[in-house]
Amino acid sequence: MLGRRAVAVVIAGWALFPLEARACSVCIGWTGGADGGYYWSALLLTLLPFAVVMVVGAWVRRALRREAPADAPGRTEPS
Amino acid sequence: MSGGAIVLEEEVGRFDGAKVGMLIFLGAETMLFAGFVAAFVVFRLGAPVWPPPLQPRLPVGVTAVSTAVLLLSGYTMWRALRAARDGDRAGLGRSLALTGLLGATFLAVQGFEWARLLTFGLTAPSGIYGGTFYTLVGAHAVHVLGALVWLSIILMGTRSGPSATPNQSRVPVFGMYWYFVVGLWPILYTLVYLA
Repeated sequence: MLGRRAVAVVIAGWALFPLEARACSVCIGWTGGADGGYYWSALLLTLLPFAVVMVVGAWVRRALRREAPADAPGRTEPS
Repeated sequence: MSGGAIVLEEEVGRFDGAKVGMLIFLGAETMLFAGFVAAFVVFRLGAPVWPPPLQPRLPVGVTAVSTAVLLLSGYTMWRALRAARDGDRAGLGRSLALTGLLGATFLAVQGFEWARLLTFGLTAPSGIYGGTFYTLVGAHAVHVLGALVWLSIILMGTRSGPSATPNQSRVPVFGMYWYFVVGLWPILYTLVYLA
């Protein structure tokens, strides 16, 4: 149990403080604002695909839910 | 609906594959522009002085007006969607035409600005400033242009024939794309012109 927690803490620490990610060839020699720009850009590009997938998924789920009652058995179309 | 009324797939709750397809496409477009924006932010924050010295300043005021024009086209698009939902063929055509006119105006103003900036020496190969500017703003302009071509096709379908056409039934899908193009611009304007 402790082993799993330790692994989780290590993974979380690695994910939240990605020092390795900053060591890219483009960023060597950049300081101050540049590091901030790189950090926020990387964060945006990392999180955005998840946001996009979630939005599309939520939209499809909502559309399917709304459609379901219309196709329910026993329901008749108004004349 | 019958009697020449427009039949649209805007019925609330109907699962529309075209809309899902457009949503996925817009997701990909979002990532494309996020990449451009990310690159711009990295260069922008990495530069000691922005705009770089000896580079022309961007026309903030004129672009603010064209931004307002584009936002107004979002409103006319909303009216077009409402007209389509209500089966108002004349209103649909009118609102779509107005949307196209506003979009074309936005594009014309952008083109005029670009021509002026080019004469002042701001070109894409002139440096990071010009490169990021033309990439971001140019990519958006290409999208507006594509939307205008699509809108023209829809408009032609709206005005020909007494009944609905497949193009007309895709007005809501086009609306999604137009809203994306309109909604994206204020973000780009703030980043490129104001920040």
